[in-house]
Amino acid sequence: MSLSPARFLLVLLGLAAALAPLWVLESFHLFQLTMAVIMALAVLGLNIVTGYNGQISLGHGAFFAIGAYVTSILMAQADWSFYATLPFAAAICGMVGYAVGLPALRLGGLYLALVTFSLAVAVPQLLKHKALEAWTGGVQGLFLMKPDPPRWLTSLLPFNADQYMYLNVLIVSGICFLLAWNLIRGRIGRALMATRDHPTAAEAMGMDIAALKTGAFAVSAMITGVAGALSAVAVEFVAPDSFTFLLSITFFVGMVVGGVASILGSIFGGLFVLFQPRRAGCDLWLDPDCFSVCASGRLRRFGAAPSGKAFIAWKPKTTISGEEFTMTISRRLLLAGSAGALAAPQIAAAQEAPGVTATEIHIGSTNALSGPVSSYSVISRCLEAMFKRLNDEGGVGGRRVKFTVYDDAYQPPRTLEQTRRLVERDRVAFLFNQLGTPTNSAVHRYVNQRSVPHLFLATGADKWANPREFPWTIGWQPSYRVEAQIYTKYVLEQRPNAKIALLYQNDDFGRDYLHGVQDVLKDRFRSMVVTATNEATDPTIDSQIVQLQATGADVLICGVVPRFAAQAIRRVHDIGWRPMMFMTNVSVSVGVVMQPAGVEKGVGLITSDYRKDQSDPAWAQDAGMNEWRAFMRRYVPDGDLGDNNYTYGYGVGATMIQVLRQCGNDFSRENVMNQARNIKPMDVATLLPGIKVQTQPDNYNVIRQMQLQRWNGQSWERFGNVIEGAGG
Amino acid sequence: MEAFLLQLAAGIATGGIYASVALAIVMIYQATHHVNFAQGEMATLSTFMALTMIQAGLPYWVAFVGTLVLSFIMGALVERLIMRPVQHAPILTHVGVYIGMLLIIGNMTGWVFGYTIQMFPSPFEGGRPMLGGLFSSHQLGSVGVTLTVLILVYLFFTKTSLGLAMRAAAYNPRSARLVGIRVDVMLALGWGLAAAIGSVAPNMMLGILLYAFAGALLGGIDNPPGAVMGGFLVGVLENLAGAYIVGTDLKLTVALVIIIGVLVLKPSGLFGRVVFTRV
Repeated sequence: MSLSPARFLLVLLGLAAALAPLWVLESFHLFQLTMAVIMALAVLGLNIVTGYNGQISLGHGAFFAIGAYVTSILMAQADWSFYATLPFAAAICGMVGYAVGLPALRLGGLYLALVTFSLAVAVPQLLKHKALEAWTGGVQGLFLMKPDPPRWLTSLLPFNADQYMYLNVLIVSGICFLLAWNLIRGRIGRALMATRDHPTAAEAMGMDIAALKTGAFAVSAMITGVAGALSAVAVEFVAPDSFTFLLSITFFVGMVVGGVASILGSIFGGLFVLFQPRRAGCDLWLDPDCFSVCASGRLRRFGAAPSGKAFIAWKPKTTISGEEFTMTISRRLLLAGSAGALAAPQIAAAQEAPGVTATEIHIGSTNALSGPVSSYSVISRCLEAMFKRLNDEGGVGGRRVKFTVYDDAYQPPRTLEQTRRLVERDRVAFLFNQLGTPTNSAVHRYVNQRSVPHLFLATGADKWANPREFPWTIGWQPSYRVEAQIYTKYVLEQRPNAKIALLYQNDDFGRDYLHGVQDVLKDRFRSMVVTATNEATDPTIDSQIVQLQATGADVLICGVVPRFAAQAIRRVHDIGWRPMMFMTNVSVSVGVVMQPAGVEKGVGLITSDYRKDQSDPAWAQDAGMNEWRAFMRRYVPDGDLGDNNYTYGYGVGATMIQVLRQCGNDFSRENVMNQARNIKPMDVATLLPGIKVQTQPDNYNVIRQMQLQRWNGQSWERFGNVIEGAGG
Repeated sequence: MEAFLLQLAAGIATGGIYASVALAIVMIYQATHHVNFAQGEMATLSTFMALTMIQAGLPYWVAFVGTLVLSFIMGALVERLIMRPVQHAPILTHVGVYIGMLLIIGNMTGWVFGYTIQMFPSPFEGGRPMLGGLFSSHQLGSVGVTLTVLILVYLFFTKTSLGLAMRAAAYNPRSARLVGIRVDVMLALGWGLAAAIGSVAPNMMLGILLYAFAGALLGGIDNPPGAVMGGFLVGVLENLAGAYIVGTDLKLTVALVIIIGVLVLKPSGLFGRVVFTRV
């Protein structure tokens, strides 16, 4: 392959364009670009098998996941260096790809699409499986470290870890692209295309179709696997929830947009899938990405709109603020490759606290504004309204609060990306109430390394109350583990010889219940407890209920989400099982769980709460709840009053505002964190009487008390005293 | 033994859901020889349409028929506006279009109806558990509806001239056109029917689509009664395997194994016809 001078110049220009970002882009953008290059590599892999060889794959996310996990396991469990893991990731993905390609030999294109589709859906579940947990870290995932730039390099150029990562990704991807280019241009490439265009003719010409097809699949899986390995290290975290079917779809979309059967097109496809969805977020409803800046037009869309009123209520975007405008522009410049404008935000006044000006405090958050758990997005909506009320009343410390929520679609890598965007680009003062356990796990170490307050998270996982190792992270609600401890204690008190059936969701959330029960029973756990699990994707849990009943258990503890809670209550009743039944307080809403389950079927069900249930007549005249109702009428007029995410949001918002008030005039990150870990016991309007919000520097369990309650057919009846849990 | 029967019953009940989605997949396959990946999203949209009508105060069965009609129109429109222009394009284009529809319909549903979980009333509510407590009235009801729809579809395809014309249009468009069948109308009709049948399935989610695929393949992708049988079989297999063999945390893998197993061992499915391709 000889280079003409013009070509040589082109290659040189391309190289310069690829390397320039190392010096002209700030860290966050460099990270985004790194992810874009990784995406391009994954799209290239897909393009080889689908574009050039005509075998449709909807499951390349699975290979991406396998590559990521091979690297992570070798790095985290066996202390291998990152570079040594890459050939292994490639080899294992190649083998799996070959194995998947084998049945494809006998099948038409459509069937292969089906096989790969099912592979993509099933792989995350396999990664979580108990048998592999020792290696994969189960639902918790694995943390990794980016390789540090070697000494000889840092002595030449002052590279940080982000820049070094980009360089690594660029080199590995460059090699893969060159190899792919070579493969496609040569005899094999032509044979691949001939097989795609006319298999019979190709075979008649003496080509070994079987070898070509399986070989193409193996190479393709290998390249996508390497991309997965790179992404694991760039994100420094892997968890099964990062590799949903949507990832495979993303690759597919990238390939189609960039260009089917085009190597350069793969690069554009990679850039597209990383940048376009977020660009679109500001303009289109498809991916409502920037929540606060478009709030006036968009907010209304997140409530329940039972009769299609959303159409009328929604105003097309007529209010482009200056902020949003500059944001859009700067992204365009980024896409165009110009970086001059981007350097500007870096020169923010250094002596001031980040995110705080004379008139404004900027707070950042992430939530699932799209995707399967986006019903929780109403929390952000409630908080947005609370800050609006605060601003209407004159703000705090003479400043207005600006609250920016980005969409992470509940995907951990997206959470990291959006969090970095908030911290490094938008330069928020601190992070508040980010949603979800796997998502917050992905940023846990990042925010603590950077000393950014990571306050009052919307998750009940137990691991946020760890001031010694993670002083900058703090939860809010009682942890699921504390809750399970309380139930188990109550069981032992009432039925010392009980046989306990435990049904829990096979993820971080469900496992906390398992741990809570284990905490209390210790050695007796094995003899007293039988367990069953469910997946979020299961259509029903009938089978699990029947299985548990057959063990003869007389106590049932459920750690499942609302959809399954309703099914469990109904099913337990219908098969005539009458255990002492406990339900996680995540899933006891009257409207969402008890009514669909059938109010009479849940009589006797026990749960716990720390909030006042808005549908309970006992609180009809309660001062605190009246305050909440007045707020809802005025600031969230179309919000569903039956949705207890609003009482949650009100409580956590009130806690945040208390911390801001305590700060006085000093909103530096140190002081915000200091105030957040020194909240004197206080009452909150939507919490049960006697339950206090409080923190101490050595105790981050913000709410550590709960009260048991029992379903009487119409409402929850509280009984017994407020119980204090022990924590982890 | 009782536990086993209960597992069996639970399997049949969930199998009913798979069976109706599998039936919809097979319908599209009959009409176009393609598999619609957006079927789950279309079914979700239909469910929300039904819910909206019920909340507006319409009686359940009126809303049911209304939803069927609306879904039929939606399916036919999709064929006319989206699928027709790419009729002769390669399979890859079709898959691309299906993926696009999956994203657009899925997001649109969330945008219009919100993402909050909503309660969907059952018309079979209030009855006592039947057959010795094995089934709830709701479960029996939905299985009954699936079977009724199956019988109607079967009669439609074998006994009516319209149904025969549709099958002809799918199997051999050129000959069908020669004998005077309006192939395009037939295809639109097929899409409409599939969308309407999909709307009977009351749930969404990828998991269901996966099980439904497994069911359709197991029964034979060109055979509607086979697909329904396959759907029920997968439901039962998945439940029994989950309870007695692999544990509940590997159920999705069971579906994957069924799909690959069928494709490798008997690609035409249990009840399908073996098709030869001539060059």
